[in-house]
Amino acid sequence: MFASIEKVKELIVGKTPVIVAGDEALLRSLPAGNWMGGTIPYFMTPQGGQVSHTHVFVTEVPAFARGVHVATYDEQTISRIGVDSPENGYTILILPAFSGLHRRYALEAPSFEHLFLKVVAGWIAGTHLDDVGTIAPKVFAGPTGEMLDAKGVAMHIQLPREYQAKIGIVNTFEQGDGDEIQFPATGFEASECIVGGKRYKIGNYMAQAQLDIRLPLVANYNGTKCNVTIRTLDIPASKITFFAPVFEGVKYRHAKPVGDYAERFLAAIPHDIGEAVFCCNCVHNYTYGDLEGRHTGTLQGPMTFGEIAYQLLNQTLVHVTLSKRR
Amino acid sequence: MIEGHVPHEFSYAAAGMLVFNLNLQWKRDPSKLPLLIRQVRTFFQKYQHLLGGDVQKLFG
Repeated sequence: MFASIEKVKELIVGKTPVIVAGDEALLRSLPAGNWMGGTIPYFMTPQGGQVSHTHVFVTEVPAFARGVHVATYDEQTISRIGVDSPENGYTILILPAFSGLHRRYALEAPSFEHLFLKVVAGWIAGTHLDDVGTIAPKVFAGPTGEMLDAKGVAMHIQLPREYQAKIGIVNTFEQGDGDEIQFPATGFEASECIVGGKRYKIGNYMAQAQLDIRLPLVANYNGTKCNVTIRTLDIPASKITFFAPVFEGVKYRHAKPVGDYAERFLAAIPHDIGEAVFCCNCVHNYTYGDLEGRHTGTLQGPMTFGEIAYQLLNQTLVHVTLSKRR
Repeated sequence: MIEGHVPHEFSYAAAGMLVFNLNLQWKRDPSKLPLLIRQVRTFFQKYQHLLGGDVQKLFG
């Protein structure tokens, strides 16, 4: 829920485990307790999309959870995230944007042990877009009171046997009908691309194709559409950078234009998902989709610098829902 | 499936992402195939209740 910091303090003092997204100054004011958080001032709220430096988004862990454990991870230990995630339950992970840890997770998470066997979701902490490059995004480990800009924080939530958690991905983008684009190396930037088996300087290709860089590149992971958002394009220098890595060997297509993002989004949300215990969406959907003051249904939460559904995604809504086993 | 010879769009996102990533790993190092097969087998065993429709389409 979108709440005042006083409300969050009450929850923490009352020993309710919570995940908090909000302005750094607000998160710094929280007492030690069973919580974790990350910085971001963009939210999808019941009143629609908004920027706030006075309120936070707080997600309560279900009261029936069997166990809740907050842990921090660095570049050496992050590969254990899947192993540490409970056998029956879910893990919410928050990483600070632009850190070495963010980079390592983006590049290597798909090969982390047990990652896809468990339910690992989360988001990338950020700042107001005007503060990118001047203020470092932070994460917070409530039990120790730590504020971190180079480590990540995770909440491992164990569920009773009769419940199971499931990650859902809502992607309003589809692959367009244009060229199939590949990249010669894995990374957050590229100077060349491969189209139709031929290598092109990325500046020349992008200038010729006249692609709208607000739209992501979309890959089809055996039925799951995974986006990569373009961060910058320097045509004279022939350099493109991304908010998530492109992977060598993966075939991307530029996304189809969306039209009215909020309408498209509402249409894309499945009707039978039940109540989400976690949700985040992408700040680029907020800005490019012009969502300030507009609603995207019941799925609410922070609008972040990247989404985690096992691996790092861009321009995507990620949610975790619980169901009872039959 | 891991070698990419069986095109299939999974109804469960984790399955599609796992198989896709295992295919990338296999392309980088084909000698890892037995390890990758063990991973996909473990995944299918754990999530068979979510993958019934996919298994039916894949294996009849």
